[in-house]
Amino acid sequence: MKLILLTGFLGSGKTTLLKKLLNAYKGLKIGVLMNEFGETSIDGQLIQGDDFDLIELTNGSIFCACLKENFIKALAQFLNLDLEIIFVESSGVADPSNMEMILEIVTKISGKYYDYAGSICIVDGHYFLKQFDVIPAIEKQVFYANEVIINKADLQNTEELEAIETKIKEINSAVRIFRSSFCEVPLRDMVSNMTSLKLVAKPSANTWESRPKTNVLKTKEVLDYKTFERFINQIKFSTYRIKGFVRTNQGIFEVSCVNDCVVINPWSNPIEETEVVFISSVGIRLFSDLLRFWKINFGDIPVNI
Amino acid sequence: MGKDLVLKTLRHDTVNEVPWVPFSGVHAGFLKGYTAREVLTDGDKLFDSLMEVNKIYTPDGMPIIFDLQIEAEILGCELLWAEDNPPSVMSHPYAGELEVPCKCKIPKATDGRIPMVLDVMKRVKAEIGDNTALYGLVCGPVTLASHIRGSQFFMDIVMYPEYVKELVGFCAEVCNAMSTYYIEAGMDIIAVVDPLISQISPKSIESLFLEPFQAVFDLIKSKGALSCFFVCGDATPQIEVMCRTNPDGISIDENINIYEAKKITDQYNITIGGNIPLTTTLLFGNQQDNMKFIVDMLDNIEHHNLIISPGCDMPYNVPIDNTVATIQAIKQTENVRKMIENYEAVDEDIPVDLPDYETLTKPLIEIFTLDSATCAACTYMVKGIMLAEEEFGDRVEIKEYKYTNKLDIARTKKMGVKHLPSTYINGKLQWSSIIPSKQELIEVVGRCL
Repeated sequence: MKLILLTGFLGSGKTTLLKKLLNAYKGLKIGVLMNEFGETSIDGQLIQGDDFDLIELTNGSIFCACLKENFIKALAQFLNLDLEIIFVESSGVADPSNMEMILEIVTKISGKYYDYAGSICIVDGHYFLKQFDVIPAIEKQVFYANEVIINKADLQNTEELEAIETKIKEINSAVRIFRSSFCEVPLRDMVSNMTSLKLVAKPSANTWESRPKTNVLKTKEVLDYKTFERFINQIKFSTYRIKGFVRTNQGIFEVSCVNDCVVINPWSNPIEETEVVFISSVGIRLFSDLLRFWKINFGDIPVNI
Repeated sequence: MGKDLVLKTLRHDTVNEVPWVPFSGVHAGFLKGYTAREVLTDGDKLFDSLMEVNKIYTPDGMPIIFDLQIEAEILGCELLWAEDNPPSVMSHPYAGELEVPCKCKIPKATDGRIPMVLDVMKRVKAEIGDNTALYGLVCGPVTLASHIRGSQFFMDIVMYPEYVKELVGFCAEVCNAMSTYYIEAGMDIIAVVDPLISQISPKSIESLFLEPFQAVFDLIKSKGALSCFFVCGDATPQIEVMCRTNPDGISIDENINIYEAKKITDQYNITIGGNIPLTTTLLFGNQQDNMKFIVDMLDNIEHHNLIISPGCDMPYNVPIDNTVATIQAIKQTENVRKMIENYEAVDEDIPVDLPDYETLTKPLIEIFTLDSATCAACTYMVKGIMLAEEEFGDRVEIKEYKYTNKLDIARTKKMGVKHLPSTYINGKLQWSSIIPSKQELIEVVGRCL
């Protein structure tokens, strides 16, 4: 059973890539394991379908001690199913240093083993150089990657793209690099050429410096679209990433924001309530900022944060 | 009604009485003949004791449990239990490498002693919650960070400020979880008890801790409860930055001049609570001493935005008469004023011989504390100073004097110690209410060798 790990910082395009992979491998028996850093799974809803098996692990990183056990069990569980290819979408702040060690344990407890093809790392062409300086996990993700996709290349000029490639090569000279927009790369060709590099297992550095705080905002109220848009545009400066679904007087929308780039698109499936995950770039202050901007925009409309 | 009096005072409304909130933590057990350990671990005994507090001390508001170690215990700290004190933290699970606990370690409502506390909160709420304001006490994020990290935490503030921010951020999330459980169990007020704040410079608080505290108080308010910031030790320089964390109230102990502190809290329209001296007056004083303290206080301070409380958790065996005298002085001030008109407090004359500091054979480090077994600021001052013993062995001598026995009180007075905890080297004041980092300690002590 082939196993492929998808890594990349928050908002770089992992879920988009996963959707494309599911499409590219239609017809095969696929397993998907999704890991989100927040308490709520938003990405699971984004890829919904019935032609693959899905396990979701939320509220931490699969490489951190707290979820590692569940990650190992989930991988072992897939080995007992009749599947051909497994995609693992790791959380944006995952440090995959100990993937090899994890696979060894999976083999030990299940008696079966994966054909681990390696990892595809997506970097955000728009924000990579900025993110690289503050998030140590990004360097690890590039270091352990077999393939790197520089996504959102259309939003970046040639000089910057070259600087990103140089940086990536400094970290991992053997890696293949693809430039793309919306993860448009020859996926099947890329995957079939992947060969697992020999990795030396070592403890993951998923420690204090790589754990952004998250808050989930929930409300049953129908919100004014314009006001919500204003609210998101104010709070975005306190976040690395915002994602979720919102019920407004103009219908239901999917909201997605990376750094200061906000995208709000109509969403056709019903949702019970507004639920948006915010990943903080300002530590615990995010909570105070959320309350403050909510109050400014929505006054006393009830909200649960 | 007492409850309204407390709530209105914390909402800064005008009231015609000053509310009385006794912090009967382990002392509640004393009223019923239970040990400190029993009331902190046995829900039925705690409930009985709290009913007794309510009956005998007729408080306007009262805490359910006063134990800053509940969260630390769940996070893996070993506790040393005592029969007449709250437990103290013995080990620090994050003392090694720079590591912040995973979010999955945030205590759940089913962890440790939390289910017992929540059950008692609900029972007390049902029994007396209509008439008495109930306080849920959570361990403040800075004290919790020192509990799990140990005395290295003070070095971290100097060496690894970004790490400290993350660690305290995690502890603030613990506060938020605990506050949520307690509010859902019926608490009207959440007190964030952070004695260690008095040992950290206002500049460091400003740059590292202001936002976590603001988030903690914002959460409490967003859940519809009122909030208080409790500190012990001489937090005079820290009061202003504490005000800017936006609590509804601040509670202080006798190390702070409440008249001066109130001038600052009034500027921010924050209610101040305090500050009956725990040991000299409540524990070792007589009824007249307690009455006089209260009458003097009420005569010299503006009553708006004021709550009268002991400075911190009451000592286990405070004579009940003393507390009763205090209540009388608060509730019937005019009568009591007449009773004590001619009373002059008499200092007991206990002879103390100070060492001859000029002829010492090795440096003598003397730590004056409230009690390192019960006061977190004192615990970490003593732990911090003991690092000198690790470094220099028997080339230095270290002694602790506690403000819980009369002989040490006499010594503290004779030395002219103004604030507790304080550290003297060779008879000279070196650190007053500030815990030195290991680096500074070794430099200073090293110069005395």
